[in-house]
Amino acid sequence: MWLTFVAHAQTNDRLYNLFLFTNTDYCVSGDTVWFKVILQNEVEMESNVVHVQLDSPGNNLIADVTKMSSDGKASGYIAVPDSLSTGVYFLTAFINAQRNNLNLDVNGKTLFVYNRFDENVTQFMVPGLKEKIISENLNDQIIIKTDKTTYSKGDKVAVNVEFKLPTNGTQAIINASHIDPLAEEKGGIFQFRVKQSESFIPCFNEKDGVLLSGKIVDENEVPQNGILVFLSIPANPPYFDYYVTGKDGDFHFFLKDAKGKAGIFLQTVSDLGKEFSIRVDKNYFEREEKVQLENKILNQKQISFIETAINGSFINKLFNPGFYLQPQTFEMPVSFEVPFYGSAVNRVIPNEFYDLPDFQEISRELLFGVQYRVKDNEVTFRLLNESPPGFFNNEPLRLINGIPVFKNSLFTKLKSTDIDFIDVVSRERIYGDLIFKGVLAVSLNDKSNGWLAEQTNISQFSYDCLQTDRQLPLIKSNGEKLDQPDLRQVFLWENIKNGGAQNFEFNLSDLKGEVEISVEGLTPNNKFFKASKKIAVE
Amino acid sequence: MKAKKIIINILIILGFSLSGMAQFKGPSGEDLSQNSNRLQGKLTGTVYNITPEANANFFLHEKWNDGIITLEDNDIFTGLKMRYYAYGDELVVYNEKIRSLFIVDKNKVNEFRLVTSEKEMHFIKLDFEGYSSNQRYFELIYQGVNKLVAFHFVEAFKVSPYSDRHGIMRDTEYRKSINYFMYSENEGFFKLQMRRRSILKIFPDNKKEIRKLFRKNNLIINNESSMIRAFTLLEENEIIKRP
Repeated sequence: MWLTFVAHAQTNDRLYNLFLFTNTDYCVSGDTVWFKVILQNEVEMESNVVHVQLDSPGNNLIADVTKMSSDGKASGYIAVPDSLSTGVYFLTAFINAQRNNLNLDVNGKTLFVYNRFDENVTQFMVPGLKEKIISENLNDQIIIKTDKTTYSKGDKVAVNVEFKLPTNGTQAIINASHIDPLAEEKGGIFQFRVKQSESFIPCFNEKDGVLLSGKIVDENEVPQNGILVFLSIPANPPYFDYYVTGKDGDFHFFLKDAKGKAGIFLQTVSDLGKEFSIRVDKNYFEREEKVQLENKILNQKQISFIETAINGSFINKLFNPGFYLQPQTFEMPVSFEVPFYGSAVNRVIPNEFYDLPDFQEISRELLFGVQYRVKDNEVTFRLLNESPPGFFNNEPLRLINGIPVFKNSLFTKLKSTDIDFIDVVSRERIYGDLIFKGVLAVSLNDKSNGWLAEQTNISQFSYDCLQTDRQLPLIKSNGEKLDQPDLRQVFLWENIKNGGAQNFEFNLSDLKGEVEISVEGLTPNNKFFKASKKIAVE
Repeated sequence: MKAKKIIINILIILGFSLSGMAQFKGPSGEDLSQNSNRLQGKLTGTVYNITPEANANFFLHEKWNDGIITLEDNDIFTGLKMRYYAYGDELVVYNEKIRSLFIVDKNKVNEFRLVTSEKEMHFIKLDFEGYSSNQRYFELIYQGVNKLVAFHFVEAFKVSPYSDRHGIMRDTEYRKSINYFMYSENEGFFKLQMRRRSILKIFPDNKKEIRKLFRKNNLIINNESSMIRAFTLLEENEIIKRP
């Protein structure tokens, strides 16, 4: 049986339907679970970013990803932490626009996780049946035939699927995978009423990007209202944005087209002389009530399956160490070629000149229209304005590697050999509602930003943006003899065309047990359907 | 409505004099509020200090118009007060929150719309070859297979010295002009005049056919609407062919 998820909510007269399918309904800690989500009712026009979360019955968020959909579908993967305890967990999918709904009911599907160091699992805390939803069985309308009912390890299985459903608009996915007898008996789809993890996260339509939210608090954990927060992502050109915190001390940034793991810098800008804490929060839903669990003594078949799964996973990791965490790379296509601070009036590359020992010398010798003044050991900058001519009365926006800097002494020791280039913008620039009295942007050769240690009220975060695309590996064997054990548990996992008769084939692995071949999907009326057939591997 | 416009104009004029006060003062930001937050993106540009001479002569319209800007990344900014600066081919926007005028970064703009008392004007940005600055704003007059566009500009002419109504000596007059072009993505710009002959020059192989077509439809080309009608006929009769 697959993990299947249906979430729906009435929000602003719009019915949101998200249907989530996973390639397996159990896993061993450290494994990766793959999912496909189908969005309905043209939600995608406004919001095409799907959040998928894995959490415990006690409402603890274990892992989450955000994935962009295309043509009403999103597919991705969620890495189950290696240290996760044996137990039942829940997968939930939602879009941020659902936050408008005060009474949101979503359905989550169980994921049975077995910790890879557990040796003798004989009992298990399983969810009570109270909230369980029974899926509609359409075995009479989707006919799944196989060439045999009993196979040997490694055999080729030929599958014929015949649709007798209305073809127009029917979306379906075919899956063939080993059945976990415990998950089959006690798992399923459960309906929960949820509340928002952080009530201050706005109901914002995430279109082609991901919302980053957080809070500013003082040393007494009191949220700080009206504080200006800068977000910087060093790149070429650098990314910059600002936000003025709300009454909960909350801030939000929308990172459009950001994929992968972003290294972001957040800093508070205040002349109050106070130090603030900057927090970045997760965007997820919590169930209003904890899931009621009951103890179940496992039968021999269930115990054996868990043992096999754990051993198989151990061997699989030996031969296939690939662990599909979110890649460490980050990509964010540049919307505009010019930096946020505008085109440089003058770009200076110090390497093209004699080496100069400090920034005062650099300013004096190379930077036209830049005043570097030292008075009472305080360094100040002033830039020449193009129009009307004359020096600005205020300091320019100073940047090092695209990050705003307010401590001018950081520039003092910079030698020309430290610097890649310097951009001088001798104009009064506007960015949203900010005005910069000129811009002095220094790009260093060293992009590690070690100088940040000397700045207060600035923090660096690693933030998971939209998940990048990857393919489920090793799903099919071509039948050739492998030089390693074949411990695949999933053999088919793909979208299939609507209607008619279609043929599929796959090779079984070296694992024995029951394999379920199933077709799940949605009718044009957004009704969830499922048909399945079991085969035995001996 | 009239009173509202007067108030807005007063506020804008006040804004000019106060623009130096609203600024980013290093570690501060007290001029900002949550109204300054816009998650989708920010409009950027260079502060513009308007002079009475510029206010009177350099803009396409005398008054500030309601407008919409669409950036290259499809981000749309609505509810703006703006004027087209025809003397320098720029778009000037008034930011009422910080009481400043600024020239919007042209390289980020895709198109904008100005709602005047007479009509809504739709401007698009096109690469105009052969000039030092390749990108120019054109009013889109007709959109078909090809575009009919108008480039609005203000020219300065030296004249005999005279005293203006404030008693200041002047020797320059500013006049508004329009150049019309047919624009095709593949073939670029063809300059047009509000005359039939100008169209015939662009289609030398179809002169006879075009003359006949215009005669049959009693079309005399002497203004924008007749030019639009001409382009519609040329497309309907496949003289301008779809690719």
